[in-house]
Amino acid sequence: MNAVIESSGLTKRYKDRLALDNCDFRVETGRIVGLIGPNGAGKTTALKAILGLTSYDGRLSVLGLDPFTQRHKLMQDVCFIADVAILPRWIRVREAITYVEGVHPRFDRAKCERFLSATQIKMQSRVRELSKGMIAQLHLALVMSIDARLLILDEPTLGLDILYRRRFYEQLLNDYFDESRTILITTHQVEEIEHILTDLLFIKDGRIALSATMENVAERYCQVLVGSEKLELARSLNPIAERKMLGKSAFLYDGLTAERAQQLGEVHQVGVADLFVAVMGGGVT
Amino acid sequence: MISSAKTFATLIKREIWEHRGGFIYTPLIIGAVLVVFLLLGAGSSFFWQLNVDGAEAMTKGALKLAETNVSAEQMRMGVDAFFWGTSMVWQSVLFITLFFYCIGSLYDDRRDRSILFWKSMPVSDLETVISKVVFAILVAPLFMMVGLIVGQIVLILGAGLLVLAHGGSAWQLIWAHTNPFPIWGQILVAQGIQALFLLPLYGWLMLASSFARGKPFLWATLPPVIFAIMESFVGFTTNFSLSKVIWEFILRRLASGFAPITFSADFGEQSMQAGFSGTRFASSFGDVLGRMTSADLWLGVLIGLGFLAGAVYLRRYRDESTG
Repeated sequence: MNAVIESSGLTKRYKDRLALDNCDFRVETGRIVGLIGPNGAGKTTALKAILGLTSYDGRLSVLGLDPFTQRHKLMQDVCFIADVAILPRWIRVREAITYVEGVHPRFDRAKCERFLSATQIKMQSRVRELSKGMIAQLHLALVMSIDARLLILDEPTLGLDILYRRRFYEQLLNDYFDESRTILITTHQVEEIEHILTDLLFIKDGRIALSATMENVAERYCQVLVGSEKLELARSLNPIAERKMLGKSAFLYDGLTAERAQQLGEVHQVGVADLFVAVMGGGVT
Repeated sequence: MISSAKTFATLIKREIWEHRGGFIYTPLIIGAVLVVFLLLGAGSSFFWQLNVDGAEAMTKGALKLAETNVSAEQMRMGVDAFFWGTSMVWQSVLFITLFFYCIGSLYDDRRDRSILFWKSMPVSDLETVISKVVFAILVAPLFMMVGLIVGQIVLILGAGLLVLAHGGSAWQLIWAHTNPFPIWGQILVAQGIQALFLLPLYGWLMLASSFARGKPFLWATLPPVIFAIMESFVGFTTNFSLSKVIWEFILRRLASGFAPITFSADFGEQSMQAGFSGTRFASSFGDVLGRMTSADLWLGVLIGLGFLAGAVYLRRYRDESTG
């Protein structure tokens, strides 16, 4: 498969600290990758490096280009929504569409108008007159009408209510995504995007803590609900996390065979949020 | 690199959308305000005496002149003076508006964070900065000219009508002596030269705009002031004063902004000392074009381009965040 993003030894040093510390990762074409990490872990720095908005050490290639020095060329094929609701407040919807049409060779005006006709957004409105949710819809409509190969979303739904959030991801999946495109998303609301992700990239203290496909994760990790009688046995098998759940204990294992797991108790798929807490939080509590 | 004419036209459109009020409506409003002054002047003897407006003064003057014997040549000069005089209002307001436009040009979108939207488009920072400079030195003056021409036509028609209302002959006193086309032509050419003359000022303001993480106005205005103060402590023993040279360079441009070069053909040291009494009307294209040969103008253009290169560099390569 083709790598859309490929990095080795990617490092970003700010004056007093390392934001990215020797990161190696690959993002393949046609994947939806969740870049997940706590605040200050280096998510935004990684995205900025990928978008050519910041310098870095190490090697980074995005669509075969060096993002920092070939940024202008890169932007023909890469689109991003960085943060919610940051469209210029003075611009009118009609003007925003004309602008993108004027500067972006891959923008499809008819498509954008079709997306917007399904919303309450009026062509004549200024962005400052729209609600936060509507601004996010407008931004998404603009971006989805661009035939880009890589779409980067940095907390695209932060602060939006649940209706908008759900619609946002549904639309992204149904009207935009196909196997020739790649989407990289960061968000705090892991549960909401869990079902659309194909790959996970956990980042912690500037390092890649986990890089796996969802299938890998399902194969490798499991969560077992263990009754009190088997607690000792469960603990002896090196769980990476343990927590109380409905009177039982939930153990999270890395690389436990299915056979072993079934002997312990009820086996469940691991949720991304649980996995995140286990990998980031560090071990048994 | 300019990737295409379509991109560039879109970037100019973008500037027009954002700054409609300051650069399209304002010149028209100036015209409307002057017309109101003219009417007020005609309607009230109080304003009549105050001489609030060139058009009103001219109407009054024309009526007075009708009683004495003046040559057609003098009449023509009077009407010309009216066109030059009122054009100052448009040109000064344009300068003030452009001053603040430049200070905000590379800062406002960083403050409201919409820069991330602009930067998500395949537009280089060089293209962005060029589009803003072209807007300031070419597009904005053209809109000003439209407002000025429309406004002055209304004013001269209005002044004539007032003369008629006072029983004079509008044709004989005003309209027969009206030939604004050479004046408009000279203002237009002068605006072009003015743009080159002011390029270092615009460049500096845009550099400050690109540099400032906050308070771009202070970044734009304080450094030259602080420099002058420091040098006044250190350098007063020597004959040569760098800050004096620099200040002259700056002040001549500020003065030229407020009193455009159509009005002050020579604004050198002597006229600086003599204040505005040294100014005179530019009377020919030769006067206006004479500026083009000045070394000071081209040195300024070079300095301006240097500042603009710095502005592009900062916008392109500086990392805004700390994490």
